[in-house]
Amino acid sequence: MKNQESVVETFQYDDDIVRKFTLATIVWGAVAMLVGVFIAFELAYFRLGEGIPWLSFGRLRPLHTNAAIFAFAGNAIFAGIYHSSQRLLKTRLACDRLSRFHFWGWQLIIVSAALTLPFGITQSKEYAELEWPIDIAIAVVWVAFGVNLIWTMVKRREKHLYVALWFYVATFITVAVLHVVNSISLPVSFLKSYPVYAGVTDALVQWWYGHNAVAFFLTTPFLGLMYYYIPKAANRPVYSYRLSVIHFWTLVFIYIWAGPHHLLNTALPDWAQTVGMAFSVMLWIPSWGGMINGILTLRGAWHLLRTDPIIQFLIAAATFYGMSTFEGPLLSIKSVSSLAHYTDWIVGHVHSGALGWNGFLAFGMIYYLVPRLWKTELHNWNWARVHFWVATLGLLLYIISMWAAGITQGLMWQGIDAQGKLLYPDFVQTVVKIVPLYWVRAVGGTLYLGGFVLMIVNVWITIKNSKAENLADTTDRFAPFRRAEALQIPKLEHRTLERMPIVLTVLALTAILIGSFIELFPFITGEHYIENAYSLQSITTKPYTPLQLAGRDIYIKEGCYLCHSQMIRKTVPDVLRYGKASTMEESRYDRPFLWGSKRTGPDLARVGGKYPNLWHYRHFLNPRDVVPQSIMPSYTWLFKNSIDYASLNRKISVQRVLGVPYSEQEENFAGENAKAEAAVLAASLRSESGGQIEDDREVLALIAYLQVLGQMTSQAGGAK
Amino acid sequence: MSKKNEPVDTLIKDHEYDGIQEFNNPAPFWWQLSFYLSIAFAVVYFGYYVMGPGRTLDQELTSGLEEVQALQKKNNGPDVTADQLLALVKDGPSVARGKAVFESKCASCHAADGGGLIGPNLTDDYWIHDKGEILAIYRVIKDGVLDKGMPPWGAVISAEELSSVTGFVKSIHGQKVAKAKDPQGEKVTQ
Ligand code: HEC
Ligand code: HEC
Repeated sequence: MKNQESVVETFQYDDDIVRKFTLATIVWGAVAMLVGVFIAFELAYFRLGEGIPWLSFGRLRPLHTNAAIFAFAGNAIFAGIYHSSQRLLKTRLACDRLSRFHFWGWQLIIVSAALTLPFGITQSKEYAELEWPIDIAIAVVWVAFGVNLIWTMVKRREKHLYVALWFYVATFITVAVLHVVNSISLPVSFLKSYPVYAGVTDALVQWWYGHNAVAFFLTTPFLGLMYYYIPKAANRPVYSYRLSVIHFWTLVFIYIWAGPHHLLNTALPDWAQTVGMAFSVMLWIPSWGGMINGILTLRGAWHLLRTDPIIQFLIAAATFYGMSTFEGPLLSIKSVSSLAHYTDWIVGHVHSGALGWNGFLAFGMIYYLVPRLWKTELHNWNWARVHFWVATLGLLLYIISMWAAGITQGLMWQGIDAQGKLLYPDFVQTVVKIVPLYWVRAVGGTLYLGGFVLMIVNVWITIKNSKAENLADTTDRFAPFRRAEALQIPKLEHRTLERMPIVLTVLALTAILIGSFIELFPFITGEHYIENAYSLQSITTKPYTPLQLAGRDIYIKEGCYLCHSQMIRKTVPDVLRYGKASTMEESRYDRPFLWGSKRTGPDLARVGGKYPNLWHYRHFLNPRDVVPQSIMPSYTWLFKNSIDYASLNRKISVQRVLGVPYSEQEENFAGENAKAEAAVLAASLRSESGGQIEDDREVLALIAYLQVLGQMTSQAGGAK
Repeated sequence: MSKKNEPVDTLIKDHEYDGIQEFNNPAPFWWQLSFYLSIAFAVVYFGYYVMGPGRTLDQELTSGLEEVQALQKKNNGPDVTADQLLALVKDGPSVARGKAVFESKCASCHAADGGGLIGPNLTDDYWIHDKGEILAIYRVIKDGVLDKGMPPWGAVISAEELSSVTGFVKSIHGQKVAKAKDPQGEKVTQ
């Protein structure tokens, strides 16, 4: 005993890096929410931002999601992980330089996202929109974070790794795998690339990524933070160690399989859908394990819920976590999905997660951290209480209005009368019905943002009141453990693993690779799997002409896929409304796939040939001219911008490398061919409309693309 | 619920991290039970649909569509006759119903007054299909002319609406319109 006391060491925590990440969280949080509120008003009132390309819904929506996830939640995670890990491991972060590299690198990535997404520079895969050079930067900075984290664990003084740290490790390793696998693409130019996966494979890989970005970027790190900040703030022991072991491993193992629940009733092969649904159902209880452990930790201190805004935020966060992890498995049931998918219910679902779970947890954490990091009292705790109630009210308005909108519209889409016809054949009828709810949602979002602004002011004044000497790093004292002892493996029990950060990392990696491998393997490596399916049915798919390909890239650039799906599901209402169910073959050469995830407008998978060219032409100029009640934005700039012919040869060349059957001839003359095609289209539009239409406008390429949708395969019929 | 699962709140020795201690309470009974049930459900569900006799999505869709088609057949009744349609041209309430359908479904292409826009002028003497015979009009509306951009409406509007909009189209022949599109098709003189 005496011996041990003599080795107690004194060391300092790196508080500066935590302050940096905390401030970044606040700044980017404001940006993310401001953009979110703006696009919410755009859906309620289409005139907003009219005629300004970079303010249009399709361009700003990816900026909103990326800012919310990677800038707001991301910086919050890093702040919390760096703050708590140092204290849980009783050591300073491994390398100050690496921490700074991580911080500035991440901010640079965010800035480059803000400078590319609004200008339509995007890969269009949701939450993975950033173009390839930024993707590479993300990988590098992420690895820097992981190395810093694990290195710190290796250097630790505390003998065992607390449960929060297991979650951090799983976060690092899984996000690394997800990001790298999903982002592999072949560059066409510095800011344009095509993914190596096509069609159904791309869809599956993307939603394996997309779902697990939610799991391992918005869930596991926040569970880790919860495990630190709830017991600290409540000053109560964690409810159950046993439960944390079970729910950690089951969560990590099961989560990774659930991706296909984003693709239910689609052209994805049945077995993969069934796997996705089955694992989603099993995910409910492990998720609730985390909620139980968070909330029940407060046992014996329930009174804090009435008085302490930090506890209010943290416990409300765990409650919203419980709610959305019940809703998620529910939405993964095929029949529920057939009603809810593509509707605003899903939008409500992600916001109860993002605003309720991630947002509230981050706020609780910020109110906990700011007084401690700047070593002064918070300016005004009552403001924090007001923040809590305003945010809760805003969030409830948001969630409830989106439930109502989603279920109303879903039921309207499904309605079939006694004569076997759709009750609401006009899509726009179902839109008009929910526009009032879009207003409610926008107001809810504004309230939530209002609460956030109050926090900014509160934090700002607090910081201003803090003196410079308060910024010195916190000092702590702790006795290191004996390393040799830690490495012995006396018993095969979880406790042993908690002494081995590297082994723990490898085991977590194994756990997530099993599901990934089984699900993705047949699609990625066994190309035969899909090729066989194609050739068995002797269906041939035509590649896009150069002009259509240019149009497709405009569709991606403008973010049309954020309001329109291109996937007619295997359900009766979908088929009655949009025509024959979509098949895998139809998106065989689609890089990226554009199945979409939301139908603010109708599905476009078979819109080709449905309307004359002139209809589309007028529709893009002003949708209200053809569909009086439309809320689709007008796209006037497509009538001014010229088609980018110059890059087409290179684009076709990259597609050829990826295996699309273009001839060398087609590659070399792609630009010319596209010009000729556009000229013919322009001439016919001129004669139909009697107006002036130039030969090289973007709108021509986009119309050419729309008119081929549903017409790519040898067996596909027309609209019906 | 067994006693075993009641929380006992004993702290675990040596589990202390930065002041955070841990209890080792058992997971709630209902939690464990639900976990086993959800696993059982998943296994049975997967077995039934992937290995067992469960119907594929394609099979379910086919039978669902058959049911709807049966409904459509049963209710569509025999096609109308030219005389029935001609009677509707002068039937005020029916024409009014037809006008409402026209304004919501057809105006985007034919203009609200029928003067033509993307689709042809329906008020002039020129007809593309079968000299503007009332049955031809009916059939064009019902089945569409997909290649030329006229959508089929048979599956979208009811049989009754179909008839009254046909009557309405015929009723606006010769009306003055704000902006007539250039004539298409052949001139028909009656
Ligand atoms: C804010 C959401 C939104 C965005 C973004 C959007 N649309 Fe739409 N779109 C709609 C709505 C709502 C409708 C239904 C009303 C209408 O026909 O205008 C619609 C209708 C359409 C239709 C008619 C489909 C049919 O079957 O009647 C086409 C074609 C279309 N959009 C293409 C596009 C393209 C191409 C883009 C990108 C340049 C785009 N849309 C962007 C909301 C959107
Ligand atoms: C998407 C645009 C569009 C819509 C909507 C539309 N039409 Fe048409 N319609 C056309 C076009 C284009 C033609 C010419 C077809 C052809 O050339 O054979 C046409 C032709 C017709 C004709 C035949 C005219 C002739 O000269 O033979 C009739 C009658 C007609 N439409 C009625 C309707 C009615 C009634 C509706 C609404 C229920 C409707 N249309 C909706 C585009 C449309």
